[in-house]
Amino acid sequence: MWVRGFASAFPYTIPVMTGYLSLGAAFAILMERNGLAVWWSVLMSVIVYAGSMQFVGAGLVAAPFAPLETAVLTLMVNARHLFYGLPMLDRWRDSGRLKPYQIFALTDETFSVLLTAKAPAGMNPRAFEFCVALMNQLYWICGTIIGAIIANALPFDTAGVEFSMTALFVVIFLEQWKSRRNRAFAVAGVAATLVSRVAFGDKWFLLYAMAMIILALIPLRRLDAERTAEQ
Amino acid sequence: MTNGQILLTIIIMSVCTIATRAVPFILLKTKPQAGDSNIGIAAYLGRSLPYASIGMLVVYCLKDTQFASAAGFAPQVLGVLATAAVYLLTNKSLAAIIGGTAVYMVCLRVF
Repeated sequence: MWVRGFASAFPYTIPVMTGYLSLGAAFAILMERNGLAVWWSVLMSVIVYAGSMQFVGAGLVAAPFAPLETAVLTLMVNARHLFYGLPMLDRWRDSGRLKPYQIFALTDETFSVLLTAKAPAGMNPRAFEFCVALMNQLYWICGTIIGAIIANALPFDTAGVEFSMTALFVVIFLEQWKSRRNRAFAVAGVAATLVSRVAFGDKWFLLYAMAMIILALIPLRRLDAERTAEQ
Repeated sequence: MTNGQILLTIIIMSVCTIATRAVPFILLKTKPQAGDSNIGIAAYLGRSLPYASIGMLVVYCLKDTQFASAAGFAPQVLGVLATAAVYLLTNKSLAAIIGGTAVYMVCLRVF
């Protein structure tokens, strides 16, 4: 059954494969540049498994130990995941022993594949979804290992490759900017962080920025389109 | 950082990531309906924070930009412009990331 599961899930995961192999590699190159050994990169890809957050994490593990900042930052960057579970609540009610992994591995990309992909007739849909999720994580881990190999083997100077993280967030920012009604939130994030960087220096400004963002979002709630629609 | 602190940082990231993915399954029995007030503020923050935090991360990535000399800001500015240009022209995320990073790496050596 599992062979058939992986075979039928594979075509749906091809778009994720290209993205995860290259971004996973970029993440590992970043870790290497920050002086972290390959097993740290692999460990992160196995137990954290969150694309954007791992790029940020590559910086965190190279900076002075800051557990509070790490926790708050991770919760904020991954806040969107709170929503990915909602469509799966009923679907996964009877997933049994597959359920913990299904929840753990619910990344942006896996979520979007699961929303559209259909298990072939006669196949247990939960097993099919499990195969999609597991293959995606394997691409991510393979990308991480490939990146570590590239970073060690290539003779050329990789200075500046860390900009791939900046570019990744610029792309996500532009993607989100298309949705007009959420622009106020994006502007609040940029403004709060700029202000705290200028006011508080480069060491702890993220914590101040995160506090300012939460404070700024409360009055912005009246702009929230879904809430307005409810009333 | 010591190895123990690195490990702890990764574990904190792991636990907090799992928390964001698991919370709906732990707290909710069925899909909440629109207008369900007991998830109001949490739902609002979950909707708005992704936008605010990406804005924050863009600034965070550019935090070491200096305006004293061209070398301090030109690679960043040109890298961001190149990333945006490739993305807006081709709509391909990966091409934009690779293109923008390449422009940045070249600029780093030119300026």
